[in-house]
Amino acid sequence: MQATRQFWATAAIGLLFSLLAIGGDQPVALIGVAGIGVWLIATSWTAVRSFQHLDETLEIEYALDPSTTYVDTPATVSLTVTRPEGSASTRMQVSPRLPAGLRRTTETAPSLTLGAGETEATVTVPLHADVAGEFTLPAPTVSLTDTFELYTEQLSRGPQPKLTVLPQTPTVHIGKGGKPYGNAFGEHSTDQPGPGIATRDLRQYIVGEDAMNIDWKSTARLGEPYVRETEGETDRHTALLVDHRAHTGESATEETPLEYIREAALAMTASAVGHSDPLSLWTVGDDGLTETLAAGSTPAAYTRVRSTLLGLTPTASATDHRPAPTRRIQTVIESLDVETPARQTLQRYGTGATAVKSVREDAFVDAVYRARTQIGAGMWLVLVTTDADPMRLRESIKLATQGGTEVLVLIVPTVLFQRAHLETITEAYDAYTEFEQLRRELDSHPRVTALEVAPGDRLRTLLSVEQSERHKPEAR
Amino acid sequence: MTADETPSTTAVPERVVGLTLTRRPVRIAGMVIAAGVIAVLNGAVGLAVGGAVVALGLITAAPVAFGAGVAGLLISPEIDPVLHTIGALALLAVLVDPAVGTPTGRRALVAAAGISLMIGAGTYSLLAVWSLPAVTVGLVLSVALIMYAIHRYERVTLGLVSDSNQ
Repeated sequence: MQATRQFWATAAIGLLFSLLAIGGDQPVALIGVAGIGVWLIATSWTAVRSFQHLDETLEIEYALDPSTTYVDTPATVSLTVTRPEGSASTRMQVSPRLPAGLRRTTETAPSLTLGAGETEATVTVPLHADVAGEFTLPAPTVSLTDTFELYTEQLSRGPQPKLTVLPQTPTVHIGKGGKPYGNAFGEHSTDQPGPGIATRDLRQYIVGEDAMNIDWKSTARLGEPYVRETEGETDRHTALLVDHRAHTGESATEETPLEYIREAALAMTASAVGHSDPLSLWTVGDDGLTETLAAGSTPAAYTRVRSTLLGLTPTASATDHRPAPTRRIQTVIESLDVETPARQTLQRYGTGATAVKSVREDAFVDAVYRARTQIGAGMWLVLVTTDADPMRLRESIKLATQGGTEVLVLIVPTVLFQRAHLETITEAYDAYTEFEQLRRELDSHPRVTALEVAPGDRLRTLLSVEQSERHKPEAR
Repeated sequence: MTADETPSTTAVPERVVGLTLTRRPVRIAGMVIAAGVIAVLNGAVGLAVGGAVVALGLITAAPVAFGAGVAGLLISPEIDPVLHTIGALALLAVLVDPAVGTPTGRRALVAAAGISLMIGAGTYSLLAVWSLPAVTVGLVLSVALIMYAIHRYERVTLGLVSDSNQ
């Protein structure tokens, strides 16, 4: 409880009389001292009781609309305060507070004031987010003033809604060769028999097997006991490996490849949440792994992954590097001390081994190697990157698929970010064709699904303009 | 309603600073009685002072009006227990006038009446034992102590004080 200026003015009158009583030997002045004292005590007690009653009965609704929005997209937070008639004697002001990163678009600070006798008020605050992330709005500040305006109090009351701000990605295209591919994040089977719905095989009943497994319709049709095996369905560990090296932030357009990488990774996260799949995250910067989140299928684990993805920015070359455990490769050539025909023959293979070694020094390839070796078989490895370095991308896929690992690679074609207005459309199309060849090459692997992640409008523009350019000579 | 609008209040609090002619009957009656007591105690001078006290009391806030009334009583050279008690009660009515007719006013008036009895009785008793300065200091300290206790009680009950030692 804080005293107002009126309180101090009143108290000063009382003190003045106390000085008169002491210095002037005036017993009548005690009336002034006692009267002011009585008044201040009575009003303070009344104020405390009314503050307590209001605090017990106050209802605050604090809601965001929408709770998930995009950068530079308007959102609103509405604050509704309700109190019963019995608590309406206190003057009250409620002010919303905004965390760093969020700002209001109105010039004046929004707040709502309830005078004595007023029981309900609502204020709507238009919000604007300049950066992506998750924001928790602090509880509004409730300022109370007693009936006689002698005391005030400030309380922090009400809910703390969360606003998720996603980066602007107007049209994210995920597909193959410019055509959408809608099955990237769908249901998944284990490739092993087990409990499920889809039929895997129909086989003869083996003596000793549980009679419950017999498929009676097939048995009646074939005259012998048969068992219907179904596809096993299980939780699949998804390892998400996300590239946010410096080149993912390079763009001649307003958007960067990283925004599309993030969007694709968030879509994978949403898919994992939908299937309750364990999800781990590995983020790769220029100097190596920047973040590793262990596999988890709890809401907290998914939230951590989402928060990490939303906070990704292109790295510079100053991040902490955790190099892979190096193993000295003792080649056959090195074991041959002297210059022999055998050494000369093996020399060119030795050069190849050196090349592979240098490729593994690349941060992304190194991260793929670590992820695959640390997590082991049975996972679904999802790589989200660009086509900036096709050779190392190939090497990453090669490493990823070792040991029978299923791989989904989501590639952002950098060509769509290199030309602001796609002036030289033929050049752009040629570059996209190269990208498409790379994607097809990767997709041809039996355990690899390679998809493009691109700005849908730019890709459509590129493909349609190129198509019309190609048809022009034919029309003439 | 937003902060830009002026909130409508059923009880307009009295301002300590600022001149507004009051029409509140309790205040007017209290000031007139106090002025009458001053006039009876001091004759023609008292009449003039009482008039000034009424004029001041009608255009200022209740605590200032109360102070003016007590100051008017101070000019009397002798103490008349009956008249001074009447004057003091009239001025107390002026002081608590803002509580009359407000939603929480009844609670404030009851509290003021109870506290008045306690403090009045305590002060009167102590005057027989202690000197005037000692009683005055004791009264001021008691009021300050009670105010601080109420303040701490409010902080705790509203959850504004942490339980931890850290």
